[in-house]
Amino acid sequence: MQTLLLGLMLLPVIAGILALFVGRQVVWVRRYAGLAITAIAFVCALGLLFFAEQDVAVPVAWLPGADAWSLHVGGMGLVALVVTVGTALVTRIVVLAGGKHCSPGTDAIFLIALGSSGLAFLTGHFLARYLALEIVALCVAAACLVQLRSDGGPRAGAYVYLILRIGDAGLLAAILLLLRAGNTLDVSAALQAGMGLSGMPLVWIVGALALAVWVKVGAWPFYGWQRLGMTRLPLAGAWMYGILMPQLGLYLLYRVTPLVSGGGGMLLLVLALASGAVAALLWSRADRGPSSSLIYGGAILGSLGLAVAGLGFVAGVSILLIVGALLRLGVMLWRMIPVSTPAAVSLAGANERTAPALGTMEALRGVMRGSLLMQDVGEAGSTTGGDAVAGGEADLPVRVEEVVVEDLLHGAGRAVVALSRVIQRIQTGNLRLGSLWLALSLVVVVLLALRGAW
Amino acid sequence: MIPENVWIIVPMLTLLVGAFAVYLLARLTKPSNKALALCTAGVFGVALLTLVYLTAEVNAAADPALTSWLVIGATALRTTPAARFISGIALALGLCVTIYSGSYISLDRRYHIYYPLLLLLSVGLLGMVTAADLFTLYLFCELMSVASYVLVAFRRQTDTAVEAGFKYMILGSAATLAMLMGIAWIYRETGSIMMPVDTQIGPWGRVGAAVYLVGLALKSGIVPLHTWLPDAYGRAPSSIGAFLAGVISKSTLIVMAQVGLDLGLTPQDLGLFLIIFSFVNMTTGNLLALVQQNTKRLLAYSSIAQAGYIMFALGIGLRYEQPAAIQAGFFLLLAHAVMKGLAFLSKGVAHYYTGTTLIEELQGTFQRLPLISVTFTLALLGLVGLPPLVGFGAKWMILSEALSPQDWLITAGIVLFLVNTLISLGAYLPVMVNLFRPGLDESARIRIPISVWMVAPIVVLAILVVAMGLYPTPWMAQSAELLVVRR
Repeated sequence: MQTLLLGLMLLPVIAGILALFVGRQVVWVRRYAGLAITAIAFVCALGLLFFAEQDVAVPVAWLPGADAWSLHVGGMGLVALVVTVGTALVTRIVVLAGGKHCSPGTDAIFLIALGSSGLAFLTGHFLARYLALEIVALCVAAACLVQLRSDGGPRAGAYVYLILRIGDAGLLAAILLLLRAGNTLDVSAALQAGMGLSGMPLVWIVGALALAVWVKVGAWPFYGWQRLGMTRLPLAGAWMYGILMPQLGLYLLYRVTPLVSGGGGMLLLVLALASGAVAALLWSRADRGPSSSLIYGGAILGSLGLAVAGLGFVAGVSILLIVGALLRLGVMLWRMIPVSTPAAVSLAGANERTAPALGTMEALRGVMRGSLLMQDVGEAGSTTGGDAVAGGEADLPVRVEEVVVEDLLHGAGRAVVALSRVIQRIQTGNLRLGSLWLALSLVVVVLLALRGAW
Repeated sequence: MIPENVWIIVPMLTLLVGAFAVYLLARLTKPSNKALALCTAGVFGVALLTLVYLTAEVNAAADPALTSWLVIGATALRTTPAARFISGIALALGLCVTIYSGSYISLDRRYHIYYPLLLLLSVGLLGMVTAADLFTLYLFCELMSVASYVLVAFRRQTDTAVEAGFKYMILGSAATLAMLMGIAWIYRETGSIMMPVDTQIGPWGRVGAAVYLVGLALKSGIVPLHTWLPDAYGRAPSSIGAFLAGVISKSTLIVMAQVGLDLGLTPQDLGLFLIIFSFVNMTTGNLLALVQQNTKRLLAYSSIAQAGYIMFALGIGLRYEQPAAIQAGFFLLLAHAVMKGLAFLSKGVAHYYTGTTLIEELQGTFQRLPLISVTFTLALLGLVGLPPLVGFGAKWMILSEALSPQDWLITAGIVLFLVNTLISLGAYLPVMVNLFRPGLDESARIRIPISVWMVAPIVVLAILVVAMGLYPTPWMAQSAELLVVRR
């Protein structure tokens, strides 16, 4: 079983790193290695089904005071892993069948994300899961950087990473609160301890976990980051946005469903249903292209998952984990069909698909204090680095209703920047002000000392 | 007769003798910048080796946490685990900076005073952390300050550097004046300037102690006394910025905490002070970093924020008697030295080869200097706290220690800590984005070979950012129980 686990987790990561160095030089590596490693990972995942329901202790205690890691081979985690790796394999086959291949950078990101997802699905340790999710998030953001080589890539990646980081901050907060409750990082034990809580501590934990899941599954209104990947990136990148990250989010939801349904479950249910309803409304107003289906359909699925979790219906979340991945894969492949001819690929590559990213980019500008000007966003879709291009349809129009969160982010970003400027005005540079602060501090401490506050 | 424990001053003495030797060598033989850098690196190396040897000797003793004293005339020195820890960081970073300067400073004609000043700056720091009386501490602090004023204004051909050095000098002098005044009041009250004070001090002594601490607070860059810091770090050569931001201000912070305890502040009171000001520091630092256009000023503000995180950890440790929190604070100090050193040195390479100063000018760096783009990004991601880099380990330790006290103040601190992490990401992302954005013209897309003198320390620091993150245990073990708390 150790060999299978290594083949599933370590091999893709090592292969991904190697792809960066040898991918450019060796043609067959560039063409087939990614597919081969993905196939091996899939076989390993299937092989693990024969060892179902076993716990594997991993002799890694990463940070002082943290328990040793462990893996749980079996249960829904393994099933979700098999399905997810299966979709990855299909994606790679479709890319190769289309006469295309991934660039070494894309290969590296794809494989590292694949290997890390193995850890995220199987680990029974919160810190290991957080680490794996962070690596996947970084890979997801880096996909923009690598696959959109022109100017828009780094900016888009930064936006995606910022949004995903908000979700991860929620997860980290939840982990810390559960650690306080149970004094352990073992997922099952910590959740058990969490269920013993009541009142505000439980609400905080549920809120933090809900935020983490909400962002990852791309439920409304947190799908801005997905829109970017699914409308602009080639298939290998779109898989990370459309399938991998939502699957990881749903699996996290699956694990925490008993806790979530216990504390604030009804509130979650209402919010999730409202979120799904808004996404459905937006979908009904959008054109019926494949990208709309991916984004809005994915958002509805995510909302459904959250609503089901709010009801405490764990089996429902498991069904979504399997069915959702297959549905998303189906839509992604449907999206691929119109551009399977070289002419269409070329057309898609040259197409300036600026509209859908504008909202997200404006949010990025808001959050990043205006330094990232968006005037040349259009370049983002113009090059794809030789990868198979998946999106062939016309871009979705920007819809005012969609950008609520992005506007909120924009507003929050503006408020933070305004606050920064106010502080800057009274706090920096000026020697006279500096001296004044020193004099004021001296007066205050002298008064405090004389009053016996020492 | 040789005083007992004279070994305490060996690393310091090595640096001091080295400073004069290097200066004489530079004046008499007119060596090249590289040769002088090599000599200075040798001095740092010898000082580091002696420190390592002496630390090993102390650790082999019955009680490694024991403080060793050395009294020569009216001067008292002591070596504590914290002093050895900080000295080790300073010497190692000094070594990296010196090697880096072997190429980085080559265009400056006044390199013959650069290296002696760097050594004197280190002597001042080592003296500060080992001083056991208030006046010796003042003297070493002044030595460190004077050396840093000159180094900040080292590129005197630029007005901004001179202005920054001038501001730093004016405010720094006011702070040292306050320290001197504090010494006078404490001496008047107690008749002694030895630390720790043995008697309960009266009102004038308290005033003296408070004024002395304000002086040290300014040198540590605690908000609102930080106004000199962004100018100084932003205008100093990147190598000096790395040293100042990486180790100097944070070490002064530790010294301030230690002096506060020695002058009779209770750990609970000092802890509360540190916690409250940590909120101000981390929030102000990150918010101001968000609106910077200049890369080095951004890094300077980030240093203020990171000092806030360290203060938060130390505050928890002192107020709630949690040694592990103090250990976490020291680990972050070490991690910060590595990450900030890497960030400043990487920025320096970009400036040296492409003349970039502003964040938006970094565009095209990846094509010209791919290694530097990666190391700079690594440093920034470490500062954000991305696992498995070293910044995450340190922050995780702090947060997990912050969970123990069931206190609303700490709960608010945790929330603020997490929010600040996001704000800091917003500040760093534009830098990372611009590093990887393609250059506008063709000429900006040609790869530039980097001097090995610059590459070597950068690669070492980058490896440390990853290695210390993946395997933090031995590094954390070095930072255990460092602040001497009188009970």
